[in-house]
Amino acid sequence: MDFSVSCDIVLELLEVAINLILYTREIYPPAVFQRRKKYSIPVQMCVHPGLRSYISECVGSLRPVLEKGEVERVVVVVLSPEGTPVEKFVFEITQHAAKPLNIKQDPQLSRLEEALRAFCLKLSISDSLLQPLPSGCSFAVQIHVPDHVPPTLSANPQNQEFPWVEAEKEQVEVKEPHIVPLKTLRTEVCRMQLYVEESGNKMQTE
Amino acid sequence: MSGRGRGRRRGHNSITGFEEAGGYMAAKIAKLQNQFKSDVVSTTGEQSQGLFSGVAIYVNGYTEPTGEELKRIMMTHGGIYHHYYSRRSTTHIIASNLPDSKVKNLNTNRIVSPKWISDSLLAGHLLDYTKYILYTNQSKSQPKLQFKPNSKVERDSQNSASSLSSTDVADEIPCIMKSDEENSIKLNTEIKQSRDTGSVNVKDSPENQNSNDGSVSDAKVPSGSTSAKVSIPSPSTGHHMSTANPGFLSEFYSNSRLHYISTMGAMFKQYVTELQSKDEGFPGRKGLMEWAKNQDGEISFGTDTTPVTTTMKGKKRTIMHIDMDCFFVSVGLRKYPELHGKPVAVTHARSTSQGQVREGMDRQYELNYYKERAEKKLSSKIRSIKPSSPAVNPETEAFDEDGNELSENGTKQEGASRSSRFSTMSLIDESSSMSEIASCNYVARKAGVKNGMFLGPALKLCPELQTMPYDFEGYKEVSYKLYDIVASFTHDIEAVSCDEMYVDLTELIQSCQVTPLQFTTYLRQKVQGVTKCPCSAGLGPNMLIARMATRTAKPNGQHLAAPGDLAEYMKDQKVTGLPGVGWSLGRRLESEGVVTCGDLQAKALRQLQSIYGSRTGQSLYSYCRGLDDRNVKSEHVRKSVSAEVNYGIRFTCESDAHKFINELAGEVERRLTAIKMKGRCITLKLKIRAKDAPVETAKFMGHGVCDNVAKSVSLAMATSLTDVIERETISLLRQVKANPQDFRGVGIQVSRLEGQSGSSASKSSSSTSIKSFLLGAKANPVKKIVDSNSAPLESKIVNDSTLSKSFMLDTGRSASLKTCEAPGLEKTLTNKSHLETNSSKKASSSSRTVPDEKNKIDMEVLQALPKEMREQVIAEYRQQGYVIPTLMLNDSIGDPQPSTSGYCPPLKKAVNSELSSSQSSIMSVDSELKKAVMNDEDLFEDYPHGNEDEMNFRQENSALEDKKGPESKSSAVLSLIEDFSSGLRNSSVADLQKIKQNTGKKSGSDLNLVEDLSHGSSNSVASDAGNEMLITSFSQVDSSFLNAIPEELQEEIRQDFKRQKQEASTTSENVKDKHMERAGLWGKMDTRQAQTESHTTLPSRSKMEGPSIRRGQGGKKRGRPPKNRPVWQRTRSSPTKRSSPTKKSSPTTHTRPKKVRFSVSDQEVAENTSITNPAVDPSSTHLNNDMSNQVPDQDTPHEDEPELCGVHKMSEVKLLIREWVFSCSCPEVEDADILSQFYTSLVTHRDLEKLDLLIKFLYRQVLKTHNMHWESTYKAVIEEVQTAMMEKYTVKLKVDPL
Repeated sequence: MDFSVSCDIVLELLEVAINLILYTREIYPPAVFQRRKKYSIPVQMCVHPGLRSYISECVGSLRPVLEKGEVERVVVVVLSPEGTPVEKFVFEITQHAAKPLNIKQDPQLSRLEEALRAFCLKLSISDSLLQPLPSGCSFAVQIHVPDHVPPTLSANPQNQEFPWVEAEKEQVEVKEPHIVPLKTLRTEVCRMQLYVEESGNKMQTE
Repeated sequence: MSGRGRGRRRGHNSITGFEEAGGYMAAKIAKLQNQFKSDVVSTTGEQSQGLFSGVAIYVNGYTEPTGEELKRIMMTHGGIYHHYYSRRSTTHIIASNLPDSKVKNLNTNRIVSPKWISDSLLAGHLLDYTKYILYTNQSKSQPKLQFKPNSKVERDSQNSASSLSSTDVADEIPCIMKSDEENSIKLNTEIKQSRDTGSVNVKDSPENQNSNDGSVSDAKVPSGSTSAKVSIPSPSTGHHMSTANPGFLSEFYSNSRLHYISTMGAMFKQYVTELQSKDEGFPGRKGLMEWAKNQDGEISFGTDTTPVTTTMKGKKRTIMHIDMDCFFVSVGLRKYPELHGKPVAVTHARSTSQGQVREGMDRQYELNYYKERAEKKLSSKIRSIKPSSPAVNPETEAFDEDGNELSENGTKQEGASRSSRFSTMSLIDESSSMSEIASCNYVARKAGVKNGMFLGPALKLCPELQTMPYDFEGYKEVSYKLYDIVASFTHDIEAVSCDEMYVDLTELIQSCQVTPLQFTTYLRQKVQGVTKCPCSAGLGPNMLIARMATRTAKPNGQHLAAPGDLAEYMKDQKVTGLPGVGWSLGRRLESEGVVTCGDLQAKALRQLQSIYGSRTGQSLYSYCRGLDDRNVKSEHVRKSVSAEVNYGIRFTCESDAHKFINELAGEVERRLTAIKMKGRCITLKLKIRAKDAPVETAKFMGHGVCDNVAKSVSLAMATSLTDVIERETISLLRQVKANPQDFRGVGIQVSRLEGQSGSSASKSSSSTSIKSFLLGAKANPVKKIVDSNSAPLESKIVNDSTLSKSFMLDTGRSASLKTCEAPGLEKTLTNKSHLETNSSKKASSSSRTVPDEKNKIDMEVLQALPKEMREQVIAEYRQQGYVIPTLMLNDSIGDPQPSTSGYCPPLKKAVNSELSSSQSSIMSVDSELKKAVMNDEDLFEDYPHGNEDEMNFRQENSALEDKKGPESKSSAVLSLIEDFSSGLRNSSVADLQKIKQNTGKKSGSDLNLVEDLSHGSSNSVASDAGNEMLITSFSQVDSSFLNAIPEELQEEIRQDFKRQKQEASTTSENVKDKHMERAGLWGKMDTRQAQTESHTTLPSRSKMEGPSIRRGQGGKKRGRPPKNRPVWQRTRSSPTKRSSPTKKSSPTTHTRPKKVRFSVSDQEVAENTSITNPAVDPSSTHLNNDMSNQVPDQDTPHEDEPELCGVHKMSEVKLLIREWVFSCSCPEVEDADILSQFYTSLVTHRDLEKLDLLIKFLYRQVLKTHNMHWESTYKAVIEEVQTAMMEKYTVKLKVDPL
């Protein structure tokens, strides 16, 4: 089983998507973002070195798990100033094992790029579908993996510097949640569904 | 050098820089050691041999003799001298005086006085250093070196374990100590024999210690071992014998002894059956008779035989049990004649060398674990047998004693009782070979070696034991010879395994007039002569006695056990010798004081049954009296087929496991195919590493201590297909929540076997078809639904128990019928070697009885059922091919046809009337076909079933109640009829020719007709009867299949379905000419469309066919009690091919104008609507619930998208919804159900985006209506969706409220 193709694509997309989420949800000031071209469309990329490296390390550390096709979900949690999750951008990932040579229907990956583009565009207008966030939000990245993965994840020496830890329960559950579906990506190498779990009352502070 | 390497590594990572010094020191130490070593070489000329090999000393302070002197001693006697103390590699510290702080600092118990060295030198061998330990606070309870050469045999494993646990050597793991110790034992014992081997063994010990520290390769260097060891294979790095190796499975099966033996057994059972069916007479008998005559002439047979035979003759049977003597060895000896007379064992291990110690393994743990487990099992069993009660009779008294002692643990008797099983365990150390001995000869057995023993311990028992590799070809050859010989005398053979069988001699000895012993002698001579292998035979009045007699006869002998009193004969036999009495039962019996059959005979039947269960008790009761009524069963019925691998299973991730299961499923398929069986129950067996078991197993790549997990699933349809087995197994695997890395064994078992033979077997078992391929691909969902449907049916409906069963039969049968109906086509379409389900005659005849039963079903019962149940029942009836006529009260269709009145004449009638009206030559075709097809009655009978099944397939997961009312039924048939031709499109032009020829033979006129109909293109193929069934709807066509076939064929298929759809939609009362016209028109259209159409949309669009035809009429008809139940049978397919006349003449088929159907290309939509649906007919927009149960099969990566009435594209679905909303003011509940099912299936499909958009769309549509009903419907749908969301995501969807 070779998930390397889907792994690369998913990682790339995740990095772009996280940047976009941070921008569109205004978790960081727009000033730290720059317009870049990705998938032939403009996307926002963070230029703050700390944030940037955080994102890329986060995403990069997913690689070993993704290569085995064992990531169920990647979640970008938007935390209110009080630390309670108010929004969760959930990427549900189903990877298909595919070798580069075996991608027959879309050898140039043009259709894939199209799909990724649509994905990003949908993401960039997601703010219109969601209620505004309180100011001073932060974010965290969570992944959902099968039971047996965490030990291997923490054992991986590459992850020693940047370890995954078990998510705190308070950071997982959104209060009064509802789902706002954003996009479903169906390609030969992977399926990805993005939806937002949104808290019913974001502004309310306990 | 270990030190240096480590130092460098550390230095590399360090921040403090201290390690730089360490690096220097490491280098220095290494250099000194190198110097030392080279000195050794220069002074002694050789290395690592001598008294102190394995000993590494470090001298601290002043000693007598001095450090320099000690260094020299070490040099000359194979020891190692360390200038610096290393906790890791220094074994002893030599000092005569150490300050307390140093002792604490060094933290070792092995500070010994220099006298140890000098004394050892004097003694000539290594002395126990514990006597020389310098400081008394050190532990004295060190393992004692044992110097008696034979001590190893006496040592109880229990003892060693306990002594081990008490050794708390701070920095060493007990097992290492043990190995160390055992090695030293070895040294001491072997010094006397050969110094060389001994020293090599000891050489291992520092390695062992080092390897435990995780530096295997490093450790090897300092030891500078002369032992020729290759690098120690680690499973994680992909040893060729682990699953990491892609060719693992085939390699495994070519090397697995168990696999070999097991398949051999089955193989010969099969072989015996084959021999019987050949019936070549008994060529051997002649020779036997001649021989016997000569014998009689030369030597008169002893007095012991003749009288026996006379008593045997007439009334009693004579059974012979034949068994080759240590089969594997004797076969192997043919190749190695020089080994005759020597102890020989057959095993995988290539040499007698010691195994290697791998990282992370803990043999001791496993041994102890097994022992504990066995003990626990035993004691719990004993306890469960009897709560210790005061002794009443001597027997129970004996038991109590025994039991108490067992539970007390550690008394002599217990040790003795276990010794038989665990005696060899103590001989296993860290490095002895764990390769099992498959077979050993009698010489080796005398030395105490037993089959199944590990090689390591066996070598200790019998050092001169020779090993021999497996010779699978030889075994096969000899076995075949053996069976051939026996079969040349009689066919009353029951094969037990490759080298063992029971033969019923009763008939043989009567017809040949020989005594059993004469025959046996002759036979054994012959076997010996032909195979060069000895065999033993036992004779007795039944199988049990014969088996017992063989035991007496061995080796290479024969024994006739024909005692007058069987019970007397059995008395002295051990109970463990009885069939069915294994280790566990034997143990339990023993705890009851039952050792011999005589003891057992004393027990009453009831007593036995109450303790061991009625069956076991009964058989124990009769067996111990020598009674055995088993017959020599030459007909062998396989119960299950499985493939299981418990060796070398090391997965790194889940996908590895999936891949392996795929291979394993392939193996199972091969085996099923080999015995021509299919199974209905699939079991996944897993061995999962026990929680605290070591990761590395004692046996290299073995499974170690495992928890066994078995999960199974029942299928509705027997299968032997890899795909199905794999899919089911993987879904079972998913239920097992365990880390794939911990899997140590994987097995797939298929049970509840059914033969795939039958009338059609000869034809179709070898031939395959596209259809079978397609059906194979779709079979799984069908099965699921059948299961779910039949389960409640069986439990709830009183008189419907047979229904579900017969239905299952049907699903299997339909396929076979098709295959046998169109053999010609079949063959041409051969695409993939999927074996088709072939129903046996039995199956079909049994199903024929079903109709009668069903006729008796009380309609009141049906009415009394809840709606869903009733629907299911009716659906089941449909499956059987019955039309359940119903009144269509609520029918808003306003169907002009008489059929709406509720009576539905069987289609057969319709067909007949059509036939007469169109007066074509179909009748003649019919009859000819009838002749052509064997057992035509059955086939005809089955036709409706076939149709129904096809529909079922088409509907896939959709609920069976989908089909309702006679109209839908008939229209479905119609669609089938039309589909028929489509199936043929799959065939290439060449195939068409063939078919034409075929049909031409059958009826020329028919062919003409067909040709009339056909306009050049693909219409021509229409006439072959069975072809109709080939592919009924495009939804059956797997897209992967489509991709696999040539483009022309794809095109054809596509066209065909398009055309057929249009055909179905026409309501024309047309005559033939008209029809022809249209056919031509369509042909043109098709090509055009085919050009414009992109093929990715293909499967989906085709799916809208059948369902949309079938449904729609159906709405409210279900659940009506039928007034009469005309048996729908004899649907001839060949006549129905001429579809349009059929439609016309049959009242049932012609229902009403077609509904709106949505298709991919707008162009076609336009055409359809223009042709068919003129106005907004409310009825026309009934939704089809085709997609209803189409719960995604998430196992497969490319799952189907959920469909609404066969469409899944957004635009189409929207169109459909809009039509629906606008067409009626009050939506049907059913349709709402269909829609919400579609929505929920989107949820389960994780297609929330689409769901969201469609909900919003529905919302807008509903808002426009301003209709209460619609709003409530919307709410209901949303509620369903939210429930599904909660199930799947535990979060509700954000939905606009009305």
